[in-house]
Amino acid sequence: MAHILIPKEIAADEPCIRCIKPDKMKKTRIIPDAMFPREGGCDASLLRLNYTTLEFCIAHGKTLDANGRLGGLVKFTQSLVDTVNQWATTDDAIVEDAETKEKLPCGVCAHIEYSPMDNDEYVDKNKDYYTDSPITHPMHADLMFHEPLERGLVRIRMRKYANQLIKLAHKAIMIEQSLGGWAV
Amino acid sequence: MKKPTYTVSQYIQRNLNQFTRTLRTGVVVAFMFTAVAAQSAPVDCYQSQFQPEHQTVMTLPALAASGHFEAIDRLSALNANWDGEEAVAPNAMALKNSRKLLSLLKAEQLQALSPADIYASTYGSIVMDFETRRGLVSVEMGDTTMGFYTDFHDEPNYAIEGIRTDFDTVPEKLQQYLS
Repeated sequence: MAHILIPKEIAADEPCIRCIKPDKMKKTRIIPDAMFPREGGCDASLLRLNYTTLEFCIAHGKTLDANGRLGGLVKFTQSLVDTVNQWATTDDAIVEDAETKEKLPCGVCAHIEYSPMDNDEYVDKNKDYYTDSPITHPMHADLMFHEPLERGLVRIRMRKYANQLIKLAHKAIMIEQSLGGWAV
Repeated sequence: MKKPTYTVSQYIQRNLNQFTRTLRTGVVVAFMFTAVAAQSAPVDCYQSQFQPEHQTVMTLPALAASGHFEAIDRLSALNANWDGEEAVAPNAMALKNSRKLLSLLKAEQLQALSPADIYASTYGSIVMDFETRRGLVSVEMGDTTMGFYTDFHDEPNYAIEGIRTDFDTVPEKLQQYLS
């Protein structure tokens, strides 16, 4: 990888990759859980594709699975996240509350944030990192949800949001050991 | 009118005859009753097997055989960190509620749910994705509430959460979207 400074700001059209574990796929369908943060958290890991390679993304994705397998990759931009944020305020995104009978748009919101990592630790993102900096993931970013994923709650609003994001994003599925083509 | 007089043996013989007649009548009545019951019993059995409401409800053994309960059992065996990324173990009440819902669903509704599409979320709930003719109906079961959203091909979608899980029949809205 060349020696390129990784900008701290993520451009609206900059492609980011979410690695999808096999257990987050049902046949070729990627389930909303694939985009969720860990329980109690708001951040879902991404890789900034302009500052790494697809091969690295595939290899990284395989390290996340106990059996060393990758289900596929999802590619999207901050611009697409903005589109889904907007969609989440419309009538298409209405979720009824069974108790109050209120029908309100799901209102879930997220943004992409630069968050370089070394192994499993975040590092100071105010420092300059290059594509070849001696940390494991200088190209790491997070899809930051504006609310945490809390234990025990039913999260239909977040599921609906994540489902919409996956629908509009580009997806590439692993076929045997190779990554298939990108498709919406 | 003078009453007839009987010897002891005549008196016994008369009462015996009367008893025999009564017994015979009783046997005939009992036989008739049995015959009617025997005629009607097979009809009842036949009807109970083929009445529409019985035709579509799966019995528990049949449900278990179809793999849905086994899927829930597999999920109940998951421990914390089952995904290697700090996932919580499935909630016991969510598992129980999921079993209850499965036992209330009709056979054709269960046909839209592959056991492989019953899975645990990383935060303790249970998800059941029904692939219906209209599209996806994704049900999420928690400990005290449940909800679902649809992702239909050609019709308006619907989503709801906060349905109490103390239901005795399939929640009305879910019934509507699974049909």
